[in-house]
Amino acid sequence: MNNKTLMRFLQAAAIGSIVASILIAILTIVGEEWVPLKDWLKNTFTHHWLGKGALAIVAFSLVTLWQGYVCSGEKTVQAIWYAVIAALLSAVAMTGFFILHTFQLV
Amino acid sequence: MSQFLATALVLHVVLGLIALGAIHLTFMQVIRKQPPWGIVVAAAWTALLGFLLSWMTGAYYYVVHYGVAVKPRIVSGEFPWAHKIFMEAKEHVFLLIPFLAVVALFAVYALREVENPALKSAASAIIATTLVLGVLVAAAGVIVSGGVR
Repeated sequence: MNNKTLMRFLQAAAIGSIVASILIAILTIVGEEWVPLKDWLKNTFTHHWLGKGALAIVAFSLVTLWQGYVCSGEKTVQAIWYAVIAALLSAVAMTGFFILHTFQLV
Repeated sequence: MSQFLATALVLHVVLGLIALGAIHLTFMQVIRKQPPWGIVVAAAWTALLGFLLSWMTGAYYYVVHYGVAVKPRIVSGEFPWAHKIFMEAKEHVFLLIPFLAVVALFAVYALREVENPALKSAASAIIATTLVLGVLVAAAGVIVSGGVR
């Protein structure tokens, strides 16, 4: 793998990670607030948590492969920083949600 | 709890700790002026595989046993928040980590080939984020275990 291809796939993986982080946060928070979504995850994947993981893997894989062939690799550094921000925001959003949910504030 | 489930739980913890040690090693070596790339690549691979295997073994234990036998005890016990906050946050934040570990691995390979200070800062940040979230998930696991009593 030459350097340009490596940078392209690094940028692609970072973008895939951003999509996975956002998807996991949405499925988690919306799933708790809107029961049909959690039920669909349970019924389709046997457990809601397995469903979130499986959908995140599919989204990450598809976005990484797609971006690996279409992106230039020139914005790799920005993509990695956005992946960091997306992961931290996703973690804070989910943790914050469960704290509020426990105290019945949401 | 069956022997198989107990083994899955122990493997989940041990593999997670190995992965945390490996991602910590990756971070400490990457921020050096001249990283030993052989060690860095091996550590990043160990971290990724450790997180994935810890994910799988933890998933088996969580889906088959935790929700049926452990969660009800915690929720009806003295420390229901151990499940409602810490377990819920832990199980969902854990979902983020393997994807970050994949990016960290790609970043290590890129850094080995390209000398770029901005890339080094960004790569260090994603490795550090993986480490910090992993440590928080492990700490939450300790709290959940304590919440069973």
